[in-house]
Amino acid sequence: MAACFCSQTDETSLLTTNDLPAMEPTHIFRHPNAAYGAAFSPDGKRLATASLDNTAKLWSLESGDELLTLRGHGDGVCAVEFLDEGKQVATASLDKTVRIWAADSGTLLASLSGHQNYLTSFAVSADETLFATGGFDNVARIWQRRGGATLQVLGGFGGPVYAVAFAPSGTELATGCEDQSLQLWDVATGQVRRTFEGHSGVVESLAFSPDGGTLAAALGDQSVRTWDAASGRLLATCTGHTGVVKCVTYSPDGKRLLSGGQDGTLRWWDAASGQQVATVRGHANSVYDVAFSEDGRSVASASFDRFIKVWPTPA
Amino acid sequence: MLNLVGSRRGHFCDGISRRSFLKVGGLAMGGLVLPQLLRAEAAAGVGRSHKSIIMVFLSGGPPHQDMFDLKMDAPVEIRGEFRPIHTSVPGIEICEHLPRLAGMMDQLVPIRSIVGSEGRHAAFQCQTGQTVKRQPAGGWPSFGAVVSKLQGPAAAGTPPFVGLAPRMRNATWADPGQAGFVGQAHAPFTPNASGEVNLTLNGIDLETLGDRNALMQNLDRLRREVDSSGEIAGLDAYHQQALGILTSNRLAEALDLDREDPKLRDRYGRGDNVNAGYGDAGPLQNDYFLAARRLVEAGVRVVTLAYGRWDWHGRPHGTNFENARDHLPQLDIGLSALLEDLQARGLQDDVSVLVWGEFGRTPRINKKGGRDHWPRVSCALLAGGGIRAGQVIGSTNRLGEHAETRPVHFQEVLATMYRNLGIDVNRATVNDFHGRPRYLVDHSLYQPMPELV
Repeated sequence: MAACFCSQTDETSLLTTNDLPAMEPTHIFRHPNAAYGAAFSPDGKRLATASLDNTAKLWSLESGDELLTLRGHGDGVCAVEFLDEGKQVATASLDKTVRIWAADSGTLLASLSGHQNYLTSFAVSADETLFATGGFDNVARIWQRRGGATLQVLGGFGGPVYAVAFAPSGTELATGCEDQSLQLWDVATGQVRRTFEGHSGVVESLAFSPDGGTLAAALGDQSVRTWDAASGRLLATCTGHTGVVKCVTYSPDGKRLLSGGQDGTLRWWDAASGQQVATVRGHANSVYDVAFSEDGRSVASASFDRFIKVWPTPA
Repeated sequence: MLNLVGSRRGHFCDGISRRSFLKVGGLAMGGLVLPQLLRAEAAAGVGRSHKSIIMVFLSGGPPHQDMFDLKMDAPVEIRGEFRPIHTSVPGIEICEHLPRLAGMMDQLVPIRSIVGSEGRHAAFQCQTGQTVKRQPAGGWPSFGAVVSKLQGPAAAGTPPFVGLAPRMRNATWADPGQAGFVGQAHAPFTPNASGEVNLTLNGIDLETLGDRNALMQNLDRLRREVDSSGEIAGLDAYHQQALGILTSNRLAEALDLDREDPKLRDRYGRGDNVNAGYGDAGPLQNDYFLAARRLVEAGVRVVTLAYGRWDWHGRPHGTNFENARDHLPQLDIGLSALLEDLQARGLQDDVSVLVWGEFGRTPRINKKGGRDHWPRVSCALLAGGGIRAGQVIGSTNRLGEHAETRPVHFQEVLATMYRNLGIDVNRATVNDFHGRPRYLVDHSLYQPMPELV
């Protein structure tokens, strides 16, 4: 597996709009199969990536070296997150398990299972005490990280649950489904608190703003939309992607949204107005995940084209 | 893989004591080692002029309507995401993700109307033209095994039939072509089947193998040890011939891609060793295309390879179109490089290239963004072998559901391949386990395609 540090190029052209200078990635990493997830370590020195090759990998953003490959999942790894200030890594896999690994040695520390079909979405609460997962068994699950007990099994979905996101408070969980439903659940009771409307298409990805006031969704109708989390009122509709929007996240300061889509582009949006700020055609295939570094200065994109790229955040 | 081991009393450079036994592991064809193969080949005799086939098996069933038969008049849930592009032959359009092949359409023949698939996830029908059901005793032989039986080796020290498929979780996709009732002596040499990356000869890798001095020192040591035990006298002619193959370097050199100009290797696209998709199918290994060219150049008559994972049912393993965006450009690079290379070497009329899968895919895109199995019609791509290229054969209806004109059966395609090798399917037979002559295809129904010959 080649680790690439500002050296490997692929055939993807880089295009920026809005009169921005052409943007180049600062790092390019590659899995031997589609890349499904990326996450920065809290100190910004490492990147974790998840792939359909059944592994997750840790990369040094200082040297560009591949540090570790986490092997053991029996199917593609759909999501990866750092825990405990970067000491541990959580991975979620189509093999229906969530696993926790030591980030320095790759030792498997815990494995959580319960889904009856592919597990396809994963979230960690802000205090890292809870996990949420969604799957092809048409349920979402809320887990206690310690011990792995299932707190809630959320049902009633008409299809796979493609997106889960905890509100920063940890008391609410948003879910997005193939059946286009977008719901907010009470973590303690497992009851639906609110349903969000005004969109069409599959809900592919969800993100709360850092203050918890706004919920953003990446949608199959080629848009990113934001809602007032408390009232359910539609706030903004971001249009520009030319295919399904696969992923969305907020910048740490909450001012920007970043999305990635089937059209291979990353798009930055003004979170308040929904206006597009910048675009880069970063990949030759669908962008499955985007992530901000904690300082907000870098973003990472993971694509079905097998590449994971790190980009500077546009001014 | 190749393994040459020496005396149980001796210790080679790896320090490991070996049994006194000459084994050609990679040439162990269904349990038969190379000397037995050579013994059987000798009975077959050496064939005529050296014509070759390279068969690329697209494991899993490639989407005909997203490659060579785009349906732009179909509703969006059938039409899909891709657009057609013009090719070098006016009137023929193929997928936008195959631009290099489009540019050499005058050398190609897309068949849009392959029929007769039994709908089984397996290379079997592409390898034999037959269905898995109701096989004769010993099983149907693959066309590579039949060619091996009928024509034997074209060059000393080179097996007639090589399968480049690596080990996969789905063995029916890894099938490089079985020997069937023509006997294990005609099974393919499978250098990648052990899952090992490099050939090893008594622990010597390809790099060292290229060093003739080191090689000969090791072989000399082996000979001395075996000679001193008197065992060399027990080696029959076929064992000695096997040793000849190993020491000739011919096969190893053909498989040693480091001997190629790196620029040419780059042109082929190199590729990955990791199996594609769920890990149960072949890798997108473009080096295989280059290895195939080197093998036919070295005298191999039939090379088969499995390329990628084309069974695209949709999420969560990527939609049909995400996978196609991944696979098609790489196939485009590798296959076009192979055809250009054959042309550059003047081999275009001697080497036939056949690309196909076990079935097509459903016209309607499913809820997960995938296309499911569709045995009613599929596609193939032919090139080389002196066929009349620059034409499309067959058509499907508006939705790509069934062959509308000129249905082409698997056996017609293989009959054409046999014809390109100089084998007359109306006359040639191979004996089955009961000694009964069997024709290579059902020639009362299937003949070499008249449009191509």
